[in-house]
Amino acid sequence: MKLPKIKDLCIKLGESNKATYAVVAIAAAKGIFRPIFTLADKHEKKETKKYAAAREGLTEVVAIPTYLGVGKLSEVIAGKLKGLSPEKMEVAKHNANFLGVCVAALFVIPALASLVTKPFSKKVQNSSNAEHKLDIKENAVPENIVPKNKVSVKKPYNYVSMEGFLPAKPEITKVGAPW
Amino acid sequence: MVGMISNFLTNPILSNVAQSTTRSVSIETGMKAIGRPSFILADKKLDKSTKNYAAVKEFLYQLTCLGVYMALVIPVFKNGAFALAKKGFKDEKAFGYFKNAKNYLNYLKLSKMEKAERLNVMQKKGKNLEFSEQIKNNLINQDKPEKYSIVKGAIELGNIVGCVLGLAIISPQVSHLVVHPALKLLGFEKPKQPAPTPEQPQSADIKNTRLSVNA
Repeated sequence: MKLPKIKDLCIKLGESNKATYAVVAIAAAKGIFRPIFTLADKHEKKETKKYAAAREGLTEVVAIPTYLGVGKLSEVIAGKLKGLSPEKMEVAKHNANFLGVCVAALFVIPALASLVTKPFSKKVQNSSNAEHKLDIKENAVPENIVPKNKVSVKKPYNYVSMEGFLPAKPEITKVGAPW
Repeated sequence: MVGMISNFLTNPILSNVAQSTTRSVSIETGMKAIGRPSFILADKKLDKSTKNYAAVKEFLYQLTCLGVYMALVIPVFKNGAFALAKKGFKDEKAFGYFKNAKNYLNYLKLSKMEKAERLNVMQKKGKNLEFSEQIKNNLINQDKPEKYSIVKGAIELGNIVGCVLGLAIISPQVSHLVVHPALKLLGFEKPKQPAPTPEQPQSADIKNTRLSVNA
């Protein structure tokens, strides 16, 4: 970008700096970088990383149009106020834009983000459950080893419980003790 | 009722906050720190421990963002952008009237006041206001002093760049260092235990084996 263009941008920002400019720029950058950093985290599980990165990315994708939309809507509502001079009306619209951004950050974006990410999180949860089930099957004991008919062992008539003779602490029990 | 809304929307304090990138971003980050964890906690389909963990993690993340932004980004980028613009726009006289960004912002605050109020404040502060002669003349003689939009714009542009770098690149790195130890400290995360060596489970099994003599 050439310097005169930056100069024009500076003059425009100096005359009117809307709150939406900064928050949209932040949301766009976060939408790109936050998922990248999450995916680069070596300490998390692959599935967790994928879910967290997608959720973060989607939240920021939802945030950009929401900030713009709610900010604009607030300006339109403020524009309907009567009895204000054109100068004051400009101030009111500008302040309404800022309040719209605050409302979007506090209520609208978290609500929309939870709605948007819900189906996705279910999908991820289902896929992780499927993988988990597969693991269980793979590690399961083969059925033919388990005896189908239980054999009941009857206690002999002169049976004496050995419980009282066993040491209280199992740690000192040695496998293959004389009894 | 309408009058109250009009007065609130045209409030000069609100206007100052809305015009400043640093203030509006700080407030917006604060709103995120409240809003996002609240919506996680309100989710009925998640189990309690998952909700608490996710909500605390999100809250700590936003708090870290706010801390990094206020401590690192605001002071560095505000003055940095002013100094850079002063070098870049050498033909602009406006930059020559001010020492630094703080000096300009003090001027801007006074220039928005009514003349009588402004003169009163200037008399009270006296020597603390280190303005150049040109600027003093503006404030004393003009009803609506020149705003020097290009200076304000340069500072705001620097702030926006700082916000993006600080909140999207620096904060996630810092939060990675801060959030997990904080979660461990609060008891939301278990400290990692060393992986057992192949021999250990066998001895543990023997130790925990209870002998039951039933026959």
